[in-house]
Amino acid sequence: MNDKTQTLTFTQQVDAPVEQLYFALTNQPALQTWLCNVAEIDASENGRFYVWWNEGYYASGKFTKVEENKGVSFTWHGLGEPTPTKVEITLKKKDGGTLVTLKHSEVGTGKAWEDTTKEFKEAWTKALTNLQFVMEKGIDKRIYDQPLLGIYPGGFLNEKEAKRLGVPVEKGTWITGIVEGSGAEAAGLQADDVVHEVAGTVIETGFSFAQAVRAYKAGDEVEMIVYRGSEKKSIPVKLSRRPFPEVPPTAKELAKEVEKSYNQLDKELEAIFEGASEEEASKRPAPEEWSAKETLAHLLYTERWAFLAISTAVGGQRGPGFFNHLEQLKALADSYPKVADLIADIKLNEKLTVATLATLPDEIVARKVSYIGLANTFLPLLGLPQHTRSHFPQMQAAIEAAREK
Amino acid sequence: MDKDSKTLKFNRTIQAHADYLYYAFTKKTGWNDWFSEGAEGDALKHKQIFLMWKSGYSAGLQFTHLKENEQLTFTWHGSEDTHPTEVNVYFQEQGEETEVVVDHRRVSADRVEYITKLWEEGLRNLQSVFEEGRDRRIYDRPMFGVMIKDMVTPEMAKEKNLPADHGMLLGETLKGMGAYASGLTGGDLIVEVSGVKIENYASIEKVIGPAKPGDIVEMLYYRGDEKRVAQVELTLRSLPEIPPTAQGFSEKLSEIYQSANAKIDEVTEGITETQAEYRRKPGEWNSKEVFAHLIANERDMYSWAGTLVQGNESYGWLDHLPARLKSIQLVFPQIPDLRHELQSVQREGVGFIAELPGEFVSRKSSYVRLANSFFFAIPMHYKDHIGQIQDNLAAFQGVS
Repeated sequence: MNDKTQTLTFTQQVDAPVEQLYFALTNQPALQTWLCNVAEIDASENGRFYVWWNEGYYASGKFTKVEENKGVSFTWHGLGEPTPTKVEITLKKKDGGTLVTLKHSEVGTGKAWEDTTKEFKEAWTKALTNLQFVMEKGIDKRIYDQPLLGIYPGGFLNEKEAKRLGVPVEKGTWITGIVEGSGAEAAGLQADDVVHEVAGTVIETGFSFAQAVRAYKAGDEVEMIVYRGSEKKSIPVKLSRRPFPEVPPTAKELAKEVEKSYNQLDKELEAIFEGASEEEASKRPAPEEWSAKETLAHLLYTERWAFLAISTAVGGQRGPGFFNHLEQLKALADSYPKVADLIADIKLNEKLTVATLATLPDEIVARKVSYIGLANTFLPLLGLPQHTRSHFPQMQAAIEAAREK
Repeated sequence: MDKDSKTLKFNRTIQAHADYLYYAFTKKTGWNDWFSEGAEGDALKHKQIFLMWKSGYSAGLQFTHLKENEQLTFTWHGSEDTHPTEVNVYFQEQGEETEVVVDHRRVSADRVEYITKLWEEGLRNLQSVFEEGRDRRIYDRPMFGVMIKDMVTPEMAKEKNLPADHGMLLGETLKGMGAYASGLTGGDLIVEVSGVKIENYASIEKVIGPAKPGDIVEMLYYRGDEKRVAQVELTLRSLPEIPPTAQGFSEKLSEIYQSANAKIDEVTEGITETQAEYRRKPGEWNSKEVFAHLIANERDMYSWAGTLVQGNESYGWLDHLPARLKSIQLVFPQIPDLRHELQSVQREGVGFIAELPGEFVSRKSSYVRLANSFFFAIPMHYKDHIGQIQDNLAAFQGVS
């Protein structure tokens, strides 16, 4: 057995104050914006440390040292590694910003550690670069660098949706909109087309897209298998660079833009229910499918959930859980005697969101790691409005189905 | 290293079908129902689960092999363990019962005792949860009989001007249990128990973990600025009957709300807006904020319940956030509005419980946890906050 160990050292200069970097190291949601996909940590001495990546790797351990605005140390039990190792991250004021030094120690040597050592080197270099990007620009480079197909996906297919869309497959996602100027637009893709496969990967969940394009970059072409009704098409689509989200620089401007987007959505929403009776709105197209009113209840839950996201971003807490239970939607929908009351409550929640965004504390706006993500939750390009709109056809279809009966 | 490591084997035959037990080992809610005290991840979707205990121990699990209702294999990275270990679990269904076999390999000699206790107690509880709907971690746990309002941090101590920078601040003490009998009451700050400094939940575990019902512990606590000592007996908690059907659960819940609402109406009868906005001291809620908190708490409870039904419970308790309390009052500005909204959220909750899916109810493990937590926490929580409104009103009387 080879008992010799090595220490891997990495440094990164970041143009942000020490306090903000300390926050990024010790706050659960913040850690997820630059390092991993899920973090479950308790940043105190002997507190738990668990970070997890969607690709299938994780490390667990515990904090051994936590010093405010100076740094943290933790143990690292990484998946597939022969023994636990140690990580120490220190922060030092330098050149108006912060110098981050990361030491990964007690890493073994010899054959058993060869791959792990190589991966540590690559992964930490990448992670620290992303940390800089996130802290300075407020954007997670891992997402920003993913090439863009240019479609807004709807839900994921099941037997019923496949029937509704008339496609002969049960896996994939239907398109609800196309990004202007994207490769998808140039390729002639349109709403209700079903994307079944991208670059050989079958689309089953939200992760599938990222998996499919992982090996590609903007400018590359990928093959998509798309169904338009029963017709199967194989379409080459050029990947483009993700637009850098333009986030309004002040809370007031952000609130204004979100308000504008809500006003537009409300108009479209009300148009769907125009002339629909209470009975039509409450009728389920099938026993397990949401009625238009239940879909509205889902939108109300989403608004409440998003509103909570503001509070959690401000407090640095983990976001609330989300659920889509038919029973729960029914209970909520039933507690409003009329559709109009439910819509009124949705609008009220939107107003609350706008009012709360307008008065976001300055320190949150300055803390880019929180602010940009929060802003994008409400802006049309990435966030809520796209989700709301993706439910419009469903509500329309439910009302139409109720009328036909 | 390897020559000292051991393979540990545990098995238990449980009156339940294999699919329920498979759920108990693959979903985060499933694990929490009988084993862990917090979990993240999903064995089926992501092949990873992270288990946590209040004691501070945690383990990362990577699933390498899954055969539905029959077998699973995972690696186990325990936070105190010196190297990763490997676990195999087998389910063998025979008629109405299923044998569960846990095979934990490569456990190092110094961790054998800990891991053995973990699985032995765990599997015994798994059986109890599925057969009797009794979570032994609650039913068999010796308790002080206190409701903890806050775990005090140095910042909180400064802000609230507390006499110590650590400890558990009591919401109230439970009638018929040790702390109550020894004269402790809401507002007391317990700083030490049996020589253990109380700093977090893990320090409570240090005291309770090895204790038995009937044991007596010595508590050091502050009442106001005065330091006191009390001998407190640890006892079992008496737990309410759990209705076997969702309908019964829902009716009982409705009764709880009715009696809480009656008490609220009694206390707030004739309350003026000025009284409702009176703040006893900085950092304390006024009565409107108490209402807003109750509304937020109801919503969060059912949000948690919803994720529990989904099997991926999430613990976002956000009912103290100032922005949220403020926003609820923006929409429901006056006491009658707030009262009306509170009752409407309760009704929605009662409606949801009545509609709980049959599969969820018959699997018992999460259903019982949900019912236990609701029947225990809801009356207590209302009582606590109604008391707060009473205190506000009394203090207002004092100044006006």
